[in-house]
Amino acid sequence: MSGSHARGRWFSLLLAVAVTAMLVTMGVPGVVGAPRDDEVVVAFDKEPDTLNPYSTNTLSAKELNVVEGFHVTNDNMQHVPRIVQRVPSLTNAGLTMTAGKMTVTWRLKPDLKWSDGKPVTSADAEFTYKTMTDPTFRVDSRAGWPVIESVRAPDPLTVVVAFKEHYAAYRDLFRYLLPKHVLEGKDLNTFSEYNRSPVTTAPFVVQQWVPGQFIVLVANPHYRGAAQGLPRFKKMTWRFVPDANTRMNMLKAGEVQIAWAVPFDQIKALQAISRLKVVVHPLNAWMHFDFNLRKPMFQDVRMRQAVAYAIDKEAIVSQVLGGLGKPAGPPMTPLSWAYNPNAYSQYKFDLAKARQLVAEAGWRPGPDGILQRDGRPFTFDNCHNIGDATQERVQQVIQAMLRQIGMNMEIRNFSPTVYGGIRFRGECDTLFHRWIVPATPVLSIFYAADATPPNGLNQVFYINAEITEIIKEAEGTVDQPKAKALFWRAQEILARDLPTIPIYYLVGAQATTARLSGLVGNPTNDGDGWNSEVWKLGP
Amino acid sequence: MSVVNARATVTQASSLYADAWRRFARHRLALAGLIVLLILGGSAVAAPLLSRFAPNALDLGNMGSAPSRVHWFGTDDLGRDEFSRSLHAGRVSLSIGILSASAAALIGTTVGAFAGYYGGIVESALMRLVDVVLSVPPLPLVIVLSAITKPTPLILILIIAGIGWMGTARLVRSSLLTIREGEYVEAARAMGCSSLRIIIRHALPNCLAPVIVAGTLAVGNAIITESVLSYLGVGVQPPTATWGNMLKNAQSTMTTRPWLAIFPGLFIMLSLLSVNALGDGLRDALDVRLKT
Repeated sequence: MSGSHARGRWFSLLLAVAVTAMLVTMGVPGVVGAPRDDEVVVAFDKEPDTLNPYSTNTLSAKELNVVEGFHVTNDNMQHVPRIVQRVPSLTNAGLTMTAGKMTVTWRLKPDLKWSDGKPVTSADAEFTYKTMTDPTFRVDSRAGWPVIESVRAPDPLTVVVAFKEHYAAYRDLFRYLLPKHVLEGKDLNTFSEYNRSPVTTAPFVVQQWVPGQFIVLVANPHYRGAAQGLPRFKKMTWRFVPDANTRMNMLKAGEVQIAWAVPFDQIKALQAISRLKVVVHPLNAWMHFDFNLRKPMFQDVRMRQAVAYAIDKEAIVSQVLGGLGKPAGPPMTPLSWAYNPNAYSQYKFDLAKARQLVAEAGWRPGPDGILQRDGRPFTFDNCHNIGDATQERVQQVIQAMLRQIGMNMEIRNFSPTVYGGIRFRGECDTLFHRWIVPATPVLSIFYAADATPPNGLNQVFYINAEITEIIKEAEGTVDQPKAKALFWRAQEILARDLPTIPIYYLVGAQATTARLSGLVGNPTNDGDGWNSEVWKLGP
Repeated sequence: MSVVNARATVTQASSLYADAWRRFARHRLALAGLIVLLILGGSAVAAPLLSRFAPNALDLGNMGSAPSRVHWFGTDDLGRDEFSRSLHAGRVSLSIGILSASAAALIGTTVGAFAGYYGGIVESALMRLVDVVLSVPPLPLVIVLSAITKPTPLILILIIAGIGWMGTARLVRSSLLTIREGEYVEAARAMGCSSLRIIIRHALPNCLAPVIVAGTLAVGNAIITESVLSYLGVGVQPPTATWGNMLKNAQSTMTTRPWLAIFPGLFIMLSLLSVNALGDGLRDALDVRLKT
């Protein structure tokens, strides 16, 4: 009697599980139903907070390709036009300079329409400028906008922007155009209609957003490429899967066609699976070894040089990173037009040279092999944030390499929030750190004398009037050849003074089914979804 | 005849621990636990003799190799010998476990004894302190503490002990409540013994059994806590190996190089199982009511 009762309970339990499973799978798009080549499912690492790209520092709206503006930087870090006819420059007369001021003229492509069918005009650009300089709009960054003196719209396609000073990063403004007819008179901080489903000129529009689960995008019917069949996917589902292992497993199981943000450690394993493809692309980012110049240990430049000679960057890249990355030179990546390939080239791996510099600085190996001077051992700490196994591994390799010349490096790693405070207060002797930078070259925020925290990211506390002047001038020079010469000089000074030793340039990776093409990645924070309108499945 | 009998009774009464050992030795699981623990501890102590490789010696030409005759447990992602690291990690993990459990037992016994013996306002104050510490969620607290201090093994021992003494305190206090009413305590007081002497000489030996058992089980908890902290990256800093941070490093290569996760995981499991079996055996052995 009791046995059959128990069986009955088990049966109903099983039934309940089966029904729940069915309901769950039915509710999730991309799981049930025959695969179609004009639809795709992406396992995405994070749920966006808002799709208004100006109010957030997450790149979600950009990655989803539901917003766009005048330009975008492509996979080679070149600015290419989006809704404008060309990128204005000194050579194409889109940019005129007078003493101390400059004017940039953009021409919109003709016959552009917003996704609700209304025409795109230069008044939208005026409105975007007004919005971005409105102090009540809480934006992620207003950088560059205050430099604008005025924005005029002489005709529906022409936007004339007058700048108060020479401003080299003018192409990074108007990265997104806001629709005036939708947003005028609205409070953008709370206008969720736009923030959750932007009216846009971009290839995709939001059809459905289920919080905590997924966003469904469909092709924007008024997209300027619609006649050419763009975007190729008529429907894209971006599922939010924060756990990297789960994302990769979903791809392996065929549940999704794209797995976003492949963890570095899994690249090789995924590459070995023939029906998958891993898109590995360079990032405009690098890992570097920073000296805290306020601390006594590395005041003598010879000790910093010794570190530079003792770290075998080639070995780190080829063996620890398995070739996924590039040994670094200056604190600027080869993707940038301002990159100086000669800077830092003097520091070839050379233990003898490193030992000689250390000896010249007055340090001798003690009985335990650790350098000593006046009875004090050469011991210093190196801080980093917890979380990336590969970076922690490289850190330990650097530790072992420096131990070979008798430097005793102690690792002190912290959770990201604690680490942020500690490095800005200058509490560590050295740091192992990562910088990611935009396409327009920038050095002042890291190395200008007035950029020490909290005013900037000069966490090496490098105070040098000469370089401060040079990099400020370089960043304010619109004429690229002139700016390049200044940036080259700045990189040479950095190599001479060595406040920082870049270790390797980083790569990013996305994994897809082998049938997907078009995804090439993007080195900057324009995001790897920047060209999703040309992605397609099949031949 | 009656004299001999009386002597026998006396002998039996005075050999509580011999008796306990007899009962313990009959508890096979506990005995096995003790032996495994001794082997683990012994190999950790003798690690430099047992392993051919230094635990932190990198070999970039030989990264992630599978277990072989040279590298019994294989090598990790920096070419370090996994066998050597597992044994050396045992030194850190086991000593953190044992020392922090001992420290916790010491704090707990002291607090519990004073609270139980004195009663009144002392008891209220101490036991409310216990309640307060118990009501703080331990893991976030430990993470914050080890994030703001430099997490050396000593600091970790103090932190883990600092969140693990309350159970013992409650245990000792409740024993003391009974003990302090005992006639022998009254007798001692009548003879003019100081309170401290009564607590140390007369009361504590009578409640040691539960403390030993709780302390043994706490060793397992402490090993796990250390592993969790190291796994989260706020434990012992690299390159010093602990079972926890070895597991953490193995996480990303779990599918391609499973041995990097299996061995430290096995060591944690074995030490925990044996500590728990040992605790179980001790409980049975030291419980006078189970006397056979």
